Amino acid sequence: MRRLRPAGVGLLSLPATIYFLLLFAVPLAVLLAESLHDRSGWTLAHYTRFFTTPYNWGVVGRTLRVAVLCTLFCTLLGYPAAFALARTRSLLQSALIAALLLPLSVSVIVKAFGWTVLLRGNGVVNQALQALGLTDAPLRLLFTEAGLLIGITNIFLPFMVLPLFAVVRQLDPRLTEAAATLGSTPLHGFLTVTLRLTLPGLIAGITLVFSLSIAAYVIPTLLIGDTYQTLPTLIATSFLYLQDPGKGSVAGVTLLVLSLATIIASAALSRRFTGRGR
Amino acid sequence: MPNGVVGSPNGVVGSPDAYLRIDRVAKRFGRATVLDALSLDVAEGEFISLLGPSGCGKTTLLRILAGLLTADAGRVTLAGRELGRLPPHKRNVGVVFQNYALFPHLTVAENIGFGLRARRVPKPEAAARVARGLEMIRLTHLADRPVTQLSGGQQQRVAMARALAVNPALILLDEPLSALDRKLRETMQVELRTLLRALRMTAIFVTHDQEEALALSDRIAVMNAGRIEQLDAPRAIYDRPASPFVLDFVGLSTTLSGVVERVDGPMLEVVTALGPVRVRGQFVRGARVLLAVRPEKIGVGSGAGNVPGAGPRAGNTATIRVADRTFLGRSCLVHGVAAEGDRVVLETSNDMGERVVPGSDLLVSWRPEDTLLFPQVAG
Repeated sequence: MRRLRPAGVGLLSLPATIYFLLLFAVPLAVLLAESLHDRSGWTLAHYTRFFTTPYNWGVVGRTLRVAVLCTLFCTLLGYPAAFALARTRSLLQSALIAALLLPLSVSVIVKAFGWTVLLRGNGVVNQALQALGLTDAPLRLLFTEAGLLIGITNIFLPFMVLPLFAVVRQLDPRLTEAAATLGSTPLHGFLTVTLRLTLPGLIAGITLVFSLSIAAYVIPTLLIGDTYQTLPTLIATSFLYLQDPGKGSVAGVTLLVLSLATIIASAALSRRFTGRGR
Repeated sequence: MPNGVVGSPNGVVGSPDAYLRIDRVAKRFGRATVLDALSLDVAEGEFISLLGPSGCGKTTLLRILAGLLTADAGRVTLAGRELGRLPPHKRNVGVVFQNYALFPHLTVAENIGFGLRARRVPKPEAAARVARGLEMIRLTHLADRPVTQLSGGQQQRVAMARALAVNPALILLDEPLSALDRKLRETMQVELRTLLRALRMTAIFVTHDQEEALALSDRIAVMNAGRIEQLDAPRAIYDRPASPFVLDFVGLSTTLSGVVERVDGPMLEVVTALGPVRVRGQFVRGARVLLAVRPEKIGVGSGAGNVPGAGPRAGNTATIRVADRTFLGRSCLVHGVAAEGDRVVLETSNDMGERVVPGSDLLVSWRPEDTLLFPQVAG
């Protein structure tokens, strides 16, 4: 096939570029401008106000805390699950992949609502805990951080498992055996071979789950409510209820910066780890 | 041949001081017996091939020796140490895998040095050993290349150097040449043999390629259904196969079934589809036997079967109808059919092969000494 000249490539991406400029970049610019502007003109006043309020630091802290913990739990659950998925036989594997993918076709709102039902005092989770004899009285789960983390980890877990599954499936099990016959302890073999070769998938999974959970709005709103504000819920409250676009836009820019930093860092990392060999 | 240990099929223990002793090792997968109380003694520095069809248990045995699989029963001792349930990283047994299993994220030098790093060999010494390994496989100029950029033959050499760098007590080779094309495979066979011999490395080589096994081994263990059918030097395996299975698996031959007609001292006369055949052996009259002759032992004309001084009646002769010829390069195979449909194959010179016309009758002969004799197994 004839190679396209750079100008030709540009022309092909023109419709997508226009679409993004109009519907994404322009609103972002407006948001950014709003955060730097008030009735008197250009100013940093919104930022000063936002970052001198201790409550807002708490919001940023909680946002990061939920995102980090959710990513951590997804990693701990998803990494072994991806191996199990990659090493099972074809029919069971197809069934498991279907089980993993089906929830993605259900709206986040529906799933979050589902969790509010499951986590209630007389919900299935508490019934199960009591039936197993783990607790005597129903635990308070709904509107607690524990409940939020249970729900959000469940909802975002597929985004960890799928990229990991893609790399684990490519991994030759004989590489670990080769490491062992060369004198590697199981831990050394895992760190230098298995983990190292699945790192691109892990980085992709962490990036996906982190950027999804840091920006989650519906899940915290339904599972924990207004008492536990994160950046996305703060943005919504600022614009919708407080009529404070200054505060909302600063919170928006803060969230954007955090997400971008994650994506840029992970892109740099995965380039470093996929640069050679495969 | 080291120690002159010739194991009869299964169970018989050879010399008491074998370097590697496999003693009645058994393995089952579900209801299938993959290894059936298999025993094998290997001397230090010996090159043993495990030869057999796929599913005969040769790879299973290799994985048990490497510690990648646990045997159900039996003992394995290496250099006086019982391997038992020792995990692979504590065995000091090197493995060259069929697909090489090189680490794709590492360079050639890093692959060779992997085992040294895993064993915490001090850096200067490790670097020296990697350099020696690279020199050994003549890839010093590619030291910093990612292994994924190497050709198949180069990858095979890296896999060898990686396994040898840690100076293992035993090296296991799992069909290491099967992924290479024929020409390269023959070159690599010689290289591999020379290398292992120079290092006095004890090696167990798994293959289903009989030519490879014949070319490389000190001894060959022909395996069938989880047992060793015959353990012998390559020449003996070819010239004196212990069973029809070994005969069939190693090399071509003409096989004829027949009944012993006459016992004449050490000689028997067997009635076959080709007529009476004289063969050395001990069977009673009326016994059903299987006869076999290697293609290169059969000659065109009546002269090839003559034994000097034994008179013209001593040789075996037969008339066959020529069905086809196969040109091999160095020589020519002539395929013929006997009166009752038995197939005869003989190897002859290219010139002779040219003169043989398919469809015509051909007088062939061979010596009684070159006739192999087996009891006929019922069924």
